[in-house]
Amino acid sequence: MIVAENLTKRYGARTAVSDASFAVRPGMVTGFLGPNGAGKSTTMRMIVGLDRPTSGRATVNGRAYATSPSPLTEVGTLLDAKAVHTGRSARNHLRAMAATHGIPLSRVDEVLEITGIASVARKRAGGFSLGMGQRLGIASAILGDPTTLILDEPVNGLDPEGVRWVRDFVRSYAAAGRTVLLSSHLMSEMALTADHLIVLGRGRVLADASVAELVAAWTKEDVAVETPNPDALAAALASGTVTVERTGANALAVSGAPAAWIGDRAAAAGIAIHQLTTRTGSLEEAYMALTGDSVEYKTKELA
Amino acid sequence: MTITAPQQAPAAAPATPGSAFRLSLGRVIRSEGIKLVSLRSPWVSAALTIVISLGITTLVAIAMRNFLSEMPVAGDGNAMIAQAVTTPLAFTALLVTITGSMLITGEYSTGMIRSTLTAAPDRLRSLFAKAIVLVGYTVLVSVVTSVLGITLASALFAGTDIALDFGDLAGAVLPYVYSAVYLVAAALLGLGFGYLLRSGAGAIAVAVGILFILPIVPQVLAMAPGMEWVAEAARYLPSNAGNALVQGSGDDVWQGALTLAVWVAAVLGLGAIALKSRDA
Repeated sequence: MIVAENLTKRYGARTAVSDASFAVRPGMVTGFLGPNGAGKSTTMRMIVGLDRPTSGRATVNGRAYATSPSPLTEVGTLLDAKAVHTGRSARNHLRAMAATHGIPLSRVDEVLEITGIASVARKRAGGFSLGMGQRLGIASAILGDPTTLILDEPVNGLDPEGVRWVRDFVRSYAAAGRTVLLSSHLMSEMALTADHLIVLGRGRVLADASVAELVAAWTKEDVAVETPNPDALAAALASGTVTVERTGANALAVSGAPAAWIGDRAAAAGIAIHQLTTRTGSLEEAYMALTGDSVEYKTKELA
Repeated sequence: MTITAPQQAPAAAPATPGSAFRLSLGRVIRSEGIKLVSLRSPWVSAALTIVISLGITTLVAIAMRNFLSEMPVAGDGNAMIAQAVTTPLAFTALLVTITGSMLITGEYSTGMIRSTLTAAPDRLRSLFAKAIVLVGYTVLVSVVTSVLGITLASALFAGTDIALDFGDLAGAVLPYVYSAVYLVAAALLGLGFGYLLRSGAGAIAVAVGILFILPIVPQVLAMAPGMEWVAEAARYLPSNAGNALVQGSGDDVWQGALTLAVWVAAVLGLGAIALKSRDA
C-alpha cells in the first residue's frame, strides 16, 4: 500500500508535482498515466526518497521508505534502466545490491533466470541494449521479492515478447496480493495491464478510478447508422434521451440508445438500414479527453 | 548474443514483515566492497600507483647511490630508504584522490547512485560505508607499494651500508605508516569532492588544483617582499601537510597530520551535507 498525501515538488518557479494525493492498493495493478512532464517519475522518486518533497509526504506500508529496516523486501523499484554502473557486470551489480540486505547469491542467479538475462550476466552492463538494461532493472527490482513494485516505464525498449512478459509478470504479482504501481504513456499497454488508473497532468491528479469507470466517464458510446433515408430515421428516433447527429449524406451517429432499439424503431417505421455499428470509447480517448489541456509539450496539429 | 526467454513469474505469497533480509552497516560496507572490486578503474589505479612508485623509487635510489659513491658518508639507512620509497607520494597522492572521487562520481554519471540509495536509503550510512571501503583499499595499496618499494630500494642499495635497521623500529616503520595516512587522507578528500561536485571532471580538476597547482603559487609569490605569510599559509595545503607528515620531523609530523585531518573532515563533511540535502 502506497499513500501519497498532498505531495508537492517545486523546482524553482516550476511545479513538477502539485498537491498530489492518492493511494495505491494491494491486489491490483495500478497504472500511473500521464503525458511527458506530467510528474510521474518525480512522484515515484519521492515515494522512494530519492527526491525530497517540497511539501506533503509519501508512505509505503505506513512509513517513509527511507525508514524501512528492509527497503528491498518492501519495495522493488525500477526508476530508469540507467541506474546501473556501465562498467560493472549485471551479476556484480545484483550481487552488490543483494549484499546490502544479506540476500543470498542464489537469489541473484534466480532473478537473472527469471528476467532472461542469465546468458549475459557476466557482461558489462554498459554494452546492454535498452531492452536488456530494462530486464536488468526489473531483475534488480524483484531481487528482494518485495511486497510492492514501483516500475517507471517498464516496457520502454522491450520487444513484443518482453512487453508481454512484463504484463503477465505484474498481473501475477498483483494477483498474489501485492501492490504494483507502474507508469506508462502507452495507453494500449495500460488498457491491457492496469486495473486501476491514476492520471496525472501538469503535476496534478486528474483522475483516480478503475479503467472501466474512466472509459465510461470520459468517452461516449454511440451507434453509427447508415441509411438511405437519414431524415426520416432521425425523426423516428427522436425522443428525450436520444441524440441524433448527422455525420454524412447517409450517416447518423446516435447516442443514448442501444443498437437493437435503433434497429427495431427503423423496422417499425419501414426505413432501410445499411449499417448499424456500436462504437465504444477507448482508454486512449478517455486519456486524450482528460489530459487534453494539461499536455506540457504539445505537438502542432498536422494540416 | 541471445537472450533466453524469460520464465513465468513465480506466484509467491507476500513476504512476511519480519523479513530475514535487512539492512545493516556491515552489509552496506560489504556491498560497497563488491562494487569497488567489480570495477576496472580501482585495479588500474592500484597498478599505476605501484608501477609509478617503483619507477621513481628506482631513480631516486640510483641517484642516491651514485652520490654516495663519490662522497661516502655513513648515513641513516632507514631515512635513506624512506626517502627513496616516499618520494613518489607527490604523484600517487593525486592518483588515489582521483580514485576516491571516481568511486562516487562514477555513480552519479551512470545513474548507479539511484540504485545505491534505493537499496540503502540512509545516505550518511552509505557515505560512511563507501569511506570505510576506500580507506581499506588505500591502506592495502599503500602497504603493498611500500613493501615492494622497500624491497626494491634495499636491492638497489646492496653493497652499501644502507639497509633497513629494525633496531630503530620507529625509523624503520613509521615513514610507511605516515605514507598510508597521507594517501588515505588524499583518497577521502577525493571522495568528499566527488560527493560535493558529482562530476568526475570537476572533482579531478579541483583535486589537481589543490594538490598540485596551489602549492606552486606561494613558491612564486614568497619571493616578493612582504609576501612571507603566503608561504606560511601554504603549509596548510594538503600536499605540503602530507610532506611534513611523511618526511618532516618533530612538530612537523603532528601538525601535518592534524592539517590533513581538518581538510578531510571539512571536505567530507561538506560532501555529506550535499548528499543529505540534495535530491539524488
